[in-house]
Amino acid sequence: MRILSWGLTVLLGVVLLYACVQFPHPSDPSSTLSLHVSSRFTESAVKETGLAGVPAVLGDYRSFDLLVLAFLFFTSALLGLVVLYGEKPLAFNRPALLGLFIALLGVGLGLTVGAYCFYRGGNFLDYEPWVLLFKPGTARWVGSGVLGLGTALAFLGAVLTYSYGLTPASKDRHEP
Amino acid sequence: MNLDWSSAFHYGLLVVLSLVGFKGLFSQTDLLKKVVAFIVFQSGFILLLLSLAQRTAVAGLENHPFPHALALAALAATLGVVLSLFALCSAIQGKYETLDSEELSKRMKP
Repeated sequence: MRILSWGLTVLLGVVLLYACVQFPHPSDPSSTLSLHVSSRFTESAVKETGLAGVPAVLGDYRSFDLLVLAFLFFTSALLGLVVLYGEKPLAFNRPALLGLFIALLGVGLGLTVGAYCFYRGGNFLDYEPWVLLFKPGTARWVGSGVLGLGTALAFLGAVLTYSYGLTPASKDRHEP
Repeated sequence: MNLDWSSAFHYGLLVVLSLVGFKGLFSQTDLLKKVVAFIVFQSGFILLLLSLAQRTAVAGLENHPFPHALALAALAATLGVVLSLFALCSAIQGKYETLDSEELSKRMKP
């Protein structure tokens, strides 16, 4: 096992160093890194998305990545909760059910905003069709606000459900 | 092929950081130390992505936004995985009262 671990480490090191030799220098303006997608992201982001820099990449150009990432993050959080509290019975009391409802409402709100943008506009969460509902200057802010509200509701609902439904310290639960 | 050894040295330091974490994943027997080694391993790659984005030496050019976005995504994914691993460690500690993998394999045998 020890020899295998050293062998794998050396192998990975050789592969990575071989790749690093071919990487462009960070300050080279003529490298592929500078000339390919990054140039478009830096030059056209504000015109195409209304945002600049990393928010434009995460929120528009690579928004599906962000969606999958959020899915991964919440799945891992759920896995953590199940591992920690999975063996304890769920208490379906009113605060827990209310929290579940609020969380689903928040998630649904966020997904509806994204789906509406995708259906009527060009991309998920690009807020382009919001100009049909609001003034062009405020459409993006309103869309982001609704998405933020959905996220806040999902978080609040998850905290409520976690606090009252998944812990043994639930006050409303009636022990036999 | 033109070999750029200054780039190799620049990125090589971060590769070494990743390799330290990678070796720790195999050599440590304590599960919590394995999680820490995983964090070090991922940190090396995230720093590698961030270093790819730096263009401060060239006047008038902004940093590349794309590697920054990828680094942020990798950071969030790492955080999610690490949270799950810590929860798993906590559950194992609660059930078997140890996090040593050799001791665990002994106790798990029927």
